[in-house]
Parts: sequence; C-alpha cells; structure tokens
Amino acid sequence: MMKNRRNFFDIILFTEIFQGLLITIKHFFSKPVTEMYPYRKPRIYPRFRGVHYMKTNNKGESNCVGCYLCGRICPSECIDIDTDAGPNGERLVKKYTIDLSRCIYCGFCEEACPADAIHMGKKYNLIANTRNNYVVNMKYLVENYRGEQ
Amino acid sequence: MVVTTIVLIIKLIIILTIILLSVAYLTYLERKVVGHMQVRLGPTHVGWKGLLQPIADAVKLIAKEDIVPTMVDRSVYNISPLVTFTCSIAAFAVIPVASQLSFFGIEMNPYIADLNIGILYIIALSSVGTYGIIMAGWASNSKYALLGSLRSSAQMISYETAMGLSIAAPVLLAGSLNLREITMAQEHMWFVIPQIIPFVIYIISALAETNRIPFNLVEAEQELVAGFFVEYASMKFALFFLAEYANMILTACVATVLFLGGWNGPILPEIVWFFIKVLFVIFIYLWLESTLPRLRFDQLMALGWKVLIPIALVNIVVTSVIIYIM
Repeated sequence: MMKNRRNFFDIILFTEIFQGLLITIKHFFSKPVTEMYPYRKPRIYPRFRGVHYMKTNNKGESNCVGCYLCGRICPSECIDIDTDAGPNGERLVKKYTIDLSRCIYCGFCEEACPADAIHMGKKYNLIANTRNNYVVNMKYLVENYRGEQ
Repeated sequence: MVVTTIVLIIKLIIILTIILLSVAYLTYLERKVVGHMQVRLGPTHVGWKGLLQPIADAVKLIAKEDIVPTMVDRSVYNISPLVTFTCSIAAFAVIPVASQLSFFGIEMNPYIADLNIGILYIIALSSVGTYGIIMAGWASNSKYALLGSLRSSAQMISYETAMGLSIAAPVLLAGSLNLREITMAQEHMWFVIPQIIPFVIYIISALAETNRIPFNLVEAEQELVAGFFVEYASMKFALFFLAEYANMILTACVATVLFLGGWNGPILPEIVWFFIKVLFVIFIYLWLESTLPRLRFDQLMALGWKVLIPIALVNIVVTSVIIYIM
C-alpha cells in the first residue's frame, strides 16, 4: 500500500491550499505581462527578424550582385532571382522577388549573402488582399531599406 | 396603506436594481481579479478600464435571437430559468444591510421583510432553485444538460446538509433565526471567532452550492460543454447566469450576517461595513477559484458526506453542550 506522506496537521490546517493561495496572491500584485498590441507597439528585440530589406550603395543602387546564394539556401524556396549580362559583361539582376507569404523568416538569406545586400528588418505588419500582393520585388526591398534607417 | 405600498414598491425597485447591477459588475470583478491572478489584465477595452464591459455583455445577450431547439419540452424549458432566477433574487428580501437607513430624512428599514425565520427562508429558496436546474436539464433533451443537472442536484442536496448544519451553530449562539437578531447578537464578538470551523465549512459548501470552481462539476467545460444550460440562448441563458452570480452574492451576504458580524464595525457607516465584508467574502471566492483545480465527482461526494457533515455535527453537539452549561 502506498504510504500517505502528508501529515495530519497539513490536512486539517489546509497547508497546501494556503501555499497555493499565497502563490496566486503574489501573482495578483505582480505586473501583468499583457501587451496592449494595437494601441501600443510591442517591444522589438535587437535580433528580431521581420520583413527583409536590401542595402544600397551611395547612388541608391542595390548591393545585390545576383549570386543566387540566398535563393539556394532558402528552405521555403521563396526567393526568385533572374540575372542577365550587362554591356561590359558584368552580371545584372533582372528580377529579384521574395514571396513573403511563403517566407518563414529564418534569416538564412541574410547569413548567406556575400555582398551585404539582403537583411532581415524590423517591420512586422503585412497586410495584402491577394496572395500575389505578398510577392515583393527589388524596388520594395530598397524602399524598405530607407524605412529601416 | 397606499403610502406604505408605494414605499415598498420603490424599495423593491431600488433593491432589484442594486442586485442586478452588482451581479453584472461581479462578472467584471471576477474577470479582473482572475485575470490579474493569472498575470493578465482582464477587460480593458469598453469604457474607462473596461468598466462598461458588463453593460455591453448585457446588451448583447438581450439583443440576441431567442433560439428554442425543436426537441425540447417547451413549457418546462421556458419556466426553468425563471424558477432559478426568481429563487435566487427573492432570497435577498431578508438580508439586513444596516440597522436603520435614512433617505432624505425619511427613516426606512434597510430590508424588505423582517421574517422571524429569515435564515430558514434563504435555505428553502436555495433548495427550490435546484428544481430550476433539474427542470432545465430534463427539458433540454440533451445528454450534456441532463448529466449536468444530475450532478448539480446530487451536489446541491449533499452540500445543503453540510451548509444547514454549519448555519445551525451561529443560530444556536444567537438564539434566533432572524437575521437582524443574529447580527445584533454579534455586537461584541463576531461569530467567526468562536465558530471558525463552521465558517470554513460554510465557505466550502457555499462554493459547492453556487457551483464555483473547485466544485464546478455541473458546468465542467471539458466534459459537459456548459452543463445544464447548453441548450439555452439569449435572455434565458442570461437568467441562469444572473442567478448563478446572484447566488454567489447571496451566500457572501449570509456569511457576512452569520459569521462576520453583519453591519457591526467601528467608525465607518453600517452599510459600508456590510459591503466591505461582502466584497471580502466574494474576493475569497474568486481567490480560491483561481487557485484550486476541480475535484473529481467521487471526491466531491466524499468530502461532503464523510468530512464536512460529521465535523459540522460534532461542532453542533459541542456548541449546544457549551451553551447549555453556561
């Protein structure tokens, strides 16, 4: 038979219930952890990963060199890149889109990037009325960089 | 004759309004207190600090469509919320909130009826209230409602015994069933001091009577959806809801009158003391609600019959012997 470990006084004096009551009253007087989200902006931590942005050089052109590394490493395959050859034989980024509805915001593209171009930003509000509107292009990402600064 | 009738009707309206408003704001208090105990905020959105939330809830419930399921026993289905609600509201008639009240120079009695069997009347009405629950469960023609009402009737019958026995002790001390006289007998010492054991038994069985959380098997959400009122909608649901919370206030008032000295207290006006004590008891209810988990049904019955009733009986015997000797 299992031995009853509680002693007699614990039972008649409700020791365990009073311990529980003490815990709840402590919580009653502690500060609530609720974030009043739509009214007050939530705290954004330094390593937060939101919507991407693309760093630019002084002339306002994207740093992207079209190396395909971010598209290769992306686990959800949401980065779509297309390149072309320029007049002097250099590589030009013809098309660069990110499908934000498929992106899992893991930050691998930022780590893979050799040219200090794509970065994870602090923006988190994303609303669109169709799925296609979640697909953002280079222009959006460059504008996002201005917003992040 | 006409004047006294008019005064009585005005008093009834005032007391009913106060009860219904306090029931509405009890839900606000519950959500706030339980919320803060769970390190949340509770309602904050409607009105300043969420103070209009109960009003918004009431308006929503009244404005909702009154749905009657096709399978129900119509007449019983419609009567049962009224039975429960009327019983819990009617019991407030005998609660004395102060010894004397004066309104703009007019002396009034701060209660509707001064029955010489006040406490018996309250116990009787709370028992009749159980019928409403049984009728609701039966008439709903639903397994959840039926199981909820069966549990409720079993629970209420067992705990009413313990409650009655714990109430007997202060009645013995005061030598009266009249709530006014019981209060006046506590002028020098509150009955909670010599009668702490029946006070604890009373609080436990009051929680069981009102189906509050350690004993809310009647409406155990995980098992029975909402208990006996699953099939009810709109205002009929609201009547059950109001009755439950009115019962909570009622048991707190009775605890105040029987054990905590009613309106007795220094400095502050009598009515303020009464409300402070009632609020304190209600706070204890909410505190226990956010602390304790729900009991199993056999544990509930065992606690009622094997623990509370014997202790209350022994206490009555000891109290009577002491009173007889002294």
